[in-house]
Amino acid sequence: MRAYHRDRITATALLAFAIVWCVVVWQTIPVGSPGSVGPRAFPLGLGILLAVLSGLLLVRAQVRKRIETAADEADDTPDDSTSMSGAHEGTYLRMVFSVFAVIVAYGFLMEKIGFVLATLVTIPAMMMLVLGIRDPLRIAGMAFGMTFGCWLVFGKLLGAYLPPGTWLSLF
Amino acid sequence: MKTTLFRCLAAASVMAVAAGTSVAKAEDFPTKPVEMTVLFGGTAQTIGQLLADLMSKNLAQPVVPVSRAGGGGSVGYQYVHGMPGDGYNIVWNSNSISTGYHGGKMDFDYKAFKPIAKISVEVPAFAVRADAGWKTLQDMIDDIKGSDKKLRVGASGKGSFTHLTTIALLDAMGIGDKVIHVPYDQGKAPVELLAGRIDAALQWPGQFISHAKAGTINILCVTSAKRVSSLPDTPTCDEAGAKGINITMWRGLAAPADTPDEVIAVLEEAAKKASESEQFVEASKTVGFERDFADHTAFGAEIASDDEKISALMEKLGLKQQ
Amino acid sequence: MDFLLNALATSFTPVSLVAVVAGTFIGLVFGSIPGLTFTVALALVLPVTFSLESTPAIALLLGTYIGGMTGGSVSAILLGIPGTPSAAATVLDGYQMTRRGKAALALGTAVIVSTVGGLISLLVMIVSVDFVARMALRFGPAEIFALVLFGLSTICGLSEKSLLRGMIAGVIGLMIMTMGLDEIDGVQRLTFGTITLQQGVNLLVAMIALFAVPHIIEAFVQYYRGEEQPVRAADVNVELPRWKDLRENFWLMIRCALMGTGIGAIPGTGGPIAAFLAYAHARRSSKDSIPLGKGSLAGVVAPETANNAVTGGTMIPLLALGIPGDPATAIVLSGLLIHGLVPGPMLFLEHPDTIYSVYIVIILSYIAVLAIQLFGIRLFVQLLRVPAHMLAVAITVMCGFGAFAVRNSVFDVYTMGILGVLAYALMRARIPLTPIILGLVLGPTLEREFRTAYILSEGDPMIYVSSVPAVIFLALAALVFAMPALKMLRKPKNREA
Repeated sequence: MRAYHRDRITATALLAFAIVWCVVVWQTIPVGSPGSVGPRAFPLGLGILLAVLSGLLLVRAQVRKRIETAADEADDTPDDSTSMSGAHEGTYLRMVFSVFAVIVAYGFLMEKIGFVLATLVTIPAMMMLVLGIRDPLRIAGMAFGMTFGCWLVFGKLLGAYLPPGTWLSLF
Repeated sequence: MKTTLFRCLAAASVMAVAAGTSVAKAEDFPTKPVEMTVLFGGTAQTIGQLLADLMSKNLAQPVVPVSRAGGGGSVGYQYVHGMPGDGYNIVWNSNSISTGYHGGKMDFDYKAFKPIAKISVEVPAFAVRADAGWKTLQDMIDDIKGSDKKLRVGASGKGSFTHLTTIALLDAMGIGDKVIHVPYDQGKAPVELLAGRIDAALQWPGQFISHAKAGTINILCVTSAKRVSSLPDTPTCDEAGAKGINITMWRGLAAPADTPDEVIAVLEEAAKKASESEQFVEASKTVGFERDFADHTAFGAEIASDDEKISALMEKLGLKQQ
Repeated sequence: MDFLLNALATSFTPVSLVAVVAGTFIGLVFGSIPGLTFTVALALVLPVTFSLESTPAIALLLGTYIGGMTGGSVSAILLGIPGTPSAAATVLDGYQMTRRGKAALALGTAVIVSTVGGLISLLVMIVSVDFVARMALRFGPAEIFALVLFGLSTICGLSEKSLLRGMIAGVIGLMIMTMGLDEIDGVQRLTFGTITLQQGVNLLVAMIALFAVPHIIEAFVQYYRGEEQPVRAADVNVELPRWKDLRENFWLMIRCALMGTGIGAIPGTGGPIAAFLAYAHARRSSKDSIPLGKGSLAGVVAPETANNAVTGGTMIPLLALGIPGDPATAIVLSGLLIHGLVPGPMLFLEHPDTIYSVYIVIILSYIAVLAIQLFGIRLFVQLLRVPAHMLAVAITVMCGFGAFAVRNSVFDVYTMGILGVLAYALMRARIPLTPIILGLVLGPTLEREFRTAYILSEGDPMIYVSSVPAVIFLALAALVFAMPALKMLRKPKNREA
């Protein structure tokens, strides 16, 4: 994938987001009382600014496409500085999704079963399912070590509030 | 490995159910720490933390103050509202429950909570810069009425408690149409006042007292029916010419509506002892609030009447959403 | 002099000394863990001060504040994740230094310049508290708006490669912060009728998401593909700054300290703005052989001096006017009030010994910072021995808890996940992330001050240019924004201008 190609996707996505943003802002935020800059002004202005800026990015990507296509006819070396083979792209996607899932699950568990149990469950899940580590000693060591360490330092020494859990609370 | 994990989870959920059924017994309440949700920073947080600290001494388990600020208090109210009514989740509330509900920030009102006890009252003070030459509220009213100048008054954002109080006060003085409301987050109004960018400010007296002693700010009145202990020489707004003004901000404790009465009684007793303790009395002077304990029935009646008052006021100002 | 002796007597009691050291230590720990900041730490130590005498109480609170401000640099330098928003600018060069095996040098420098910055600000406070407080009073909404806009102009310096991308990033940051409850009009914005969204996106949570989540994803991908860099012994050498390093940056340090003190004295601004402005200043003035952004020592010196100078700066309006400049000093204020010390003009007349105790406590707590940190560096750098993927697992847990702890809200953990993935997507799309942070930090202030100024002036736009400071900062901002644009015009064919 070429740099300009990627820029085109980025710019289009941002432009679409900016337009949706502006529409939603226009429809849901009241304009405010006369004689003041109301609550709508800033979000709307920023949405428009983002639309303009991403429009510029799109234009520039088009210009660059023309320049680079012209250059390609003279020089045929593939531009692979930013390209990524399909397999690698797959790994990235997988990891992005996994990390997202882990964070959301951790938050959910923290609320429901409390900080201590949530941490005890999340660390092994992350190590086994995401990283594919199978060594039970390392997993157990990390899980218990981190959980105990955090519980001791945050909860006991520093007195921070550890969520106790609403479904069950053991600690 | 996976199956062990699942078995653990299954066992844990059984324990959860068991735990859930054994909690309800009121006579040995509390058997685990009580969470007190604090909705705001500033004085609300300071008093809340102190109260929790003192209540812990009167209960078998500690009271843990947990700050859940945001959305003008609605975030914290929603959290406590969604918790089981077993007494382990209480909220350090104030009339933000009424301003929030009528301002459309919450879809439930004060009836979603059962009052435990009223603890304190905070009374806003109305202050002006000393070199404006206004010694009394009447001076200011006459001056404003006699000129075509508008009065710039600093208070918190639109629909907030201090904003409502400001409007009510100025309306009672008959200059409601000659006012520009300048929204400032709590701490900044005195600076703007000193710098001369606003003409008057309505805020908690603690912010003004030092400046008033130094002679740079005049505190014209306090909005309660009785004078406040930290400012014995300052008249009430009613005395000073704004007839009928009696607006104060109460703070107290409440629990979800389905909390059993026996549990409420235990918490009320602990709160009463805490509010009578020497340390709390001392803090009321330095932090700047009035101690005003009321039991759960009296407190409940006050919340209800206050809610009506705020509702009517917001209706009049066109700020009422529901 | 009696007051000074009195203050010395109360400050050098065992209780006070323990309180300073304990406070500094707690602050350092909270500051160095991403997501846990000194604001959280202060809220936690406040109840402890209820039962203390006034001097130990002040010692505990100020120690925590100062330790926390300094601690933010530790994870910024070692992990590339700032511990506090004020340390976000330190990441840029600090983390690059770690990658070049100079972690200890960066950490050591950060501690020393933090101390210097803090002590210079203290000196300014002692000699000119009244003058600075009066100057700070002149900063109304229009002036603060201009200052913040100038702060925003540092985006230009942070996105050298492409101003356009930098500006896109900055605007995204500003947009994120408009969500939630609008305090001025009491209106909900983009909350879709939910209560949960009324709390808006918290700055700290967004910051963890932006810095930590892409970091975790990268570490996992590298492990998965077997490309993880093995730990080299050279990476964990303990090379502390030499006298020469500090002497070279001496004047930069002085300038940044004064800048930080001044900005700290203006209520409603604070550490992040000071740090970014100082960084931008260093970038313009640096004569270092290594350019800023590539691991230059000046890039650590500038923001770290400035953000610690802010601590002294914020004490000025707090003590002289009773006005807290940020949530952290608001808690310090509560602690003073509980002990019957009402900050404001009368404090200097009625309790001069308290003022002296404050000065002494600040000095003591910087001594504690130096001692703990210079000893601690040897331990901190050992963290680099941990394999990157294991560190990433630990960071996930810490950040998950940190995001929760900011407001005790699970919503923040979810927000971190969502923003983290978005940040990663933007990073891959070559949109720089640091300007987003700038937008996040400055957005709320920018909007609030702009709107307040407009209300104050009854809709007269001249208010934005009605005072000298406002005009100066607006002109500076315009200049900084215009320069790269002019360059771009001159070289229209510049690729990736």
